This record gives sequence, C-alpha cells and structure tokens, in this order.
Amino acid sequence: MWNYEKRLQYPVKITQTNPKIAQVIISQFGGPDGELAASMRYLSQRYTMPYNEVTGILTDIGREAAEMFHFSSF
Amino acid sequence: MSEQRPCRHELMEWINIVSFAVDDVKLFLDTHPCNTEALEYFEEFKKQRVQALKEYAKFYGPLTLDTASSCEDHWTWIHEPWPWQEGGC
Amino acid sequence: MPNYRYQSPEYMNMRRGNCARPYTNTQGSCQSPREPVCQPACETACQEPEIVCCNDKGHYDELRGMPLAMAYVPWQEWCDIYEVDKGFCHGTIFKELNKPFRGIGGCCK
Repeated sequence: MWNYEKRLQYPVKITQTNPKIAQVIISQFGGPDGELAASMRYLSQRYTMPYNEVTGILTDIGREAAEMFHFSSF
Repeated sequence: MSEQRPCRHELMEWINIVSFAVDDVKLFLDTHPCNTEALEYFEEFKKQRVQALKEYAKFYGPLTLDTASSCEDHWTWIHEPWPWQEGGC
Repeated sequence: MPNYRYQSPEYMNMRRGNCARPYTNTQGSCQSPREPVCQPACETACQEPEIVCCNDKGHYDELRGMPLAMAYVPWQEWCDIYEVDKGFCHGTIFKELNKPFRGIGGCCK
C-alpha cells in the first residue's frame, strides 16, 4: 500500500530541456533493467524473507527506487 | 493578530530536508532496530516533519492525504500545483 | 578497498596510459583537499573539503590479514551524522556513506 506525497524528494529545476538526456533518464527508469523493474524485484522478494529486518529493508529500498524517479523530464 | 505566512519555497525546502533525514534513518533502523540514538533521531525529525506538513497544508494546501482538510468548502488536493507543474516543487 | 577488477592485468595495461591509481603512487602520500560536488540547490550547505590520504608505501589494503575466499560486509555503526541540510545536499546523513564518484580508480584523477 502506498501513500502519495505531493512533492519531489529532491527539487528539480530544469533551465534547458534536453531530449537526449531525458531519453537516458527514462531508459534508466523503465525497461527490464530499469529502476522500476529493480524496485519490483525488491518488493516481491520481501514475502519469503525469514527476518523482519530484511523484509523492512527490502520494502524501503524498493520504495526509494520508485521515489527517485518522480520527475519531469521536459 | 494574524499568523505570519511562512515562505512557501523555504517551507517546502525544509519539508524535503527533514523528510530525507527521516527516510535515511529509517533505512538504518531497518537493520539496527534497537539503536537508541537512531530511534531518538527518528522521533525528533518525524515530529518536525509532521509539524512542517501541517503548517504547509494550513497555508498552501495539503501535501499528504493526512493533512487534507475536510473543513474547507472544496477539495483542495486537486487545486494546488502538482510537483511537475510550475510552482509545484 | 581494492577491487579485483582494478587488480587484473588487463585493467592495469589499460590504465598505464592514464593517471595513476592511488595505491600505485610511490611518490609519497597523496593528500589533497577536494571540494565535494554539490547539487545547485545547496551552494552554501556543503563547503567541506575532504582529505584523502594514501599510504606512503603506495599500498592500501583494508582486508590485509583477513581469511581468503570470504565475502565481508562491515557492520555500520551510528556515528558521524551530518546536519540535516548538509545531509540532504550530500544525499546521505551518514558521513561514512558520502562517497562521491571521482572517476575510475578513485582519487588522483
């Protein structure tokens, strides 16, 4: 379950748009090797963890991976 | 006497700063659940974060569902700028 | 911490043309204060020079003496916490975890 906060984790100020850089950023986020996929792997590994500490850290790392990409690229 | 309206940008920056501190100490506490210093640090900045979020919601609209008010005559959540919009972050 | 990749002969050959890696510098210790690179949002928060010191002999091996064929993950302690605004700027509240990228091989680039 997720709570949404109406803010970015770190402020973004784009003075000049750059589609090429945006493409690189999106490629890091999406696709099979992207952060979102990694985040899903962290989150799905939680269910079989024998220790609560590890369940907790996998949850929080998975959440951070998705968090970092709340951005505007253009 | 009306309460002084805090600067929106500065308050947002403060919220980002304390929220980040809470996020980072949370990761530490996941693997060190009994560390008293970390627990104190978490409590302190959680308190500051909650206070800052309430203050922001009071003057500029809610950033979280928990700070959305039912006392207003309309639903402000949708009206304030979203983070990717001008003035949103 | 030495990384096997950087010890391999292929990598050493490749690097010979470029600047020396810190622990192959035999001309004395390699101390140089450096400003950490900051995001634009926090110009004033992080003005902290960082001293990086390499052993005079040019060898820097934290795992010297440790048993072979084992993987080690040092346990983190609660120490050296940044002020909150500095922590936000550096991307971590833990000074020990502030490891900005300085180029392949680490310092002296």
